[in-house]
Amino acid sequence: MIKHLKTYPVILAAILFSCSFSANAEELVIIVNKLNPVNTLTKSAVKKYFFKDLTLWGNGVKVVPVDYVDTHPLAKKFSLNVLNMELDKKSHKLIANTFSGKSTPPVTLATEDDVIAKVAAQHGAIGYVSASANTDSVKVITLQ
Amino acid sequence: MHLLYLPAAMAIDTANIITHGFVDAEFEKSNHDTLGDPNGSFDQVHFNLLTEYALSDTMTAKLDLEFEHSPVTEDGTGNVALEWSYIEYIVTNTTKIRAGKALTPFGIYNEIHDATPTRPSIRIPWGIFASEKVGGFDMIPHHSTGLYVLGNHFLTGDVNMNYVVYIANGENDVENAAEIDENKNKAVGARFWISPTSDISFGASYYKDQVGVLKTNHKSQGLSVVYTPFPFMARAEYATSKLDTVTETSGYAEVAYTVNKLTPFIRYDILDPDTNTSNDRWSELDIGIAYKLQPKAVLKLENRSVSGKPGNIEVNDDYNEIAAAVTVAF
Repeated sequence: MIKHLKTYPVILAAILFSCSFSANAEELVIIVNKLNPVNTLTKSAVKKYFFKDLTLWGNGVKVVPVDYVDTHPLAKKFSLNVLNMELDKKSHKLIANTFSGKSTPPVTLATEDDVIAKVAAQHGAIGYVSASANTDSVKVITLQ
Repeated sequence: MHLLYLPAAMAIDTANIITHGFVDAEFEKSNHDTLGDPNGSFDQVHFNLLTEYALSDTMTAKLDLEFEHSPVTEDGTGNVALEWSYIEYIVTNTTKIRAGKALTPFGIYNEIHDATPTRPSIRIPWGIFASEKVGGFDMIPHHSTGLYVLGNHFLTGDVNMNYVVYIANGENDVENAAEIDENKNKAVGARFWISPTSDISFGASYYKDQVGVLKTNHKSQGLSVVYTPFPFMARAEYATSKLDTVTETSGYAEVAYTVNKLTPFIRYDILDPDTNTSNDRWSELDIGIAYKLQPKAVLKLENRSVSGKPGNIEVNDDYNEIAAAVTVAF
């Protein structure tokens, strides 16, 4: 009996650790090119850059938002947690912007590696990846 | 000895060219002998190519090339048009300048009147945006060629003020208004949107011109409201227009609600083509549904209950029309 009681905390700790690891892996981070002087952004600012309501960074470089196809698991999370809208509403807004001539939609890529490569290569790019992704080649922004 | 050489070909960086577009096909049939589409017709309505070429971070050339009703120049059928073609320069994040031809900014629908992917309905509100088809006169020209200043101002947080002001050739009687102005007067216009939150926007539009050689006075103004707490969407507009001594008024209200892949909608639209004439009103009740076949492909069905009073020069009777369409964005 005592032997079994000693194993319960270990099991519980393992469960909690795996849950927290999973939660961290699902969280996303905002990334920009390393040449971008910005270190902190609000969700509101990210939304404006994503929809090209703001088209230039403070240093005059054109904003290049990078997105995933809607079926990517991070796309919905970004839409709900950062843009504060359902995927359908985001899609509708992008279509309206495109076909009214206001702005073209973000570049859409298939994988996190593709997004990281794009952001690393393009001065004005801004994208998002999971917190567990290798972001050595880009800058992770603090999201307020 | 003479040397002949060919100048180096201009290289186009295709990475700076972005193209999108949409294509649609429709069917509609009315139950009237002469009004609407009495025979029932298939129509390949739009094939639009929207292209942007970024010359630099701040300057872009944009065009929307439209092939309407599948044109065949040999037969003289259909229509090919540049819906817009302009150069856009970003001055600051709050100010852009456009020079060239654009769809006249007025209310919600003129700039997207062809873009079927932007709405659940097949038809746009004709009372304001196609008044000439239902017994009135165009409240605004579809296109204006001139100079535009536009932009966004974010006041606090998400509170947004969006504006455009422009000066253009205006409307002609005969000449191509994208090339020449038939009178010395220039058309002026503006539209302002205030969005207190991301879900609601209030707009006001204005247009003023003198038309053609006779310089007929033309002035239009409108009010708009859009409320989009997804999955619900509501839009309503009211506009008046005075051409010479005739005043027309129009308004519509529409709501839509998205449930999974389905978006049912309803719209009521009304036009009084001449406020000094009785018995000439037109109205239309559209009830329909849009079904998302795939992320960018939508099937639309709608029923139009049209009411035309005997004094209306285009629609002088009541009739019903059903319509179906498929639209694809790319």
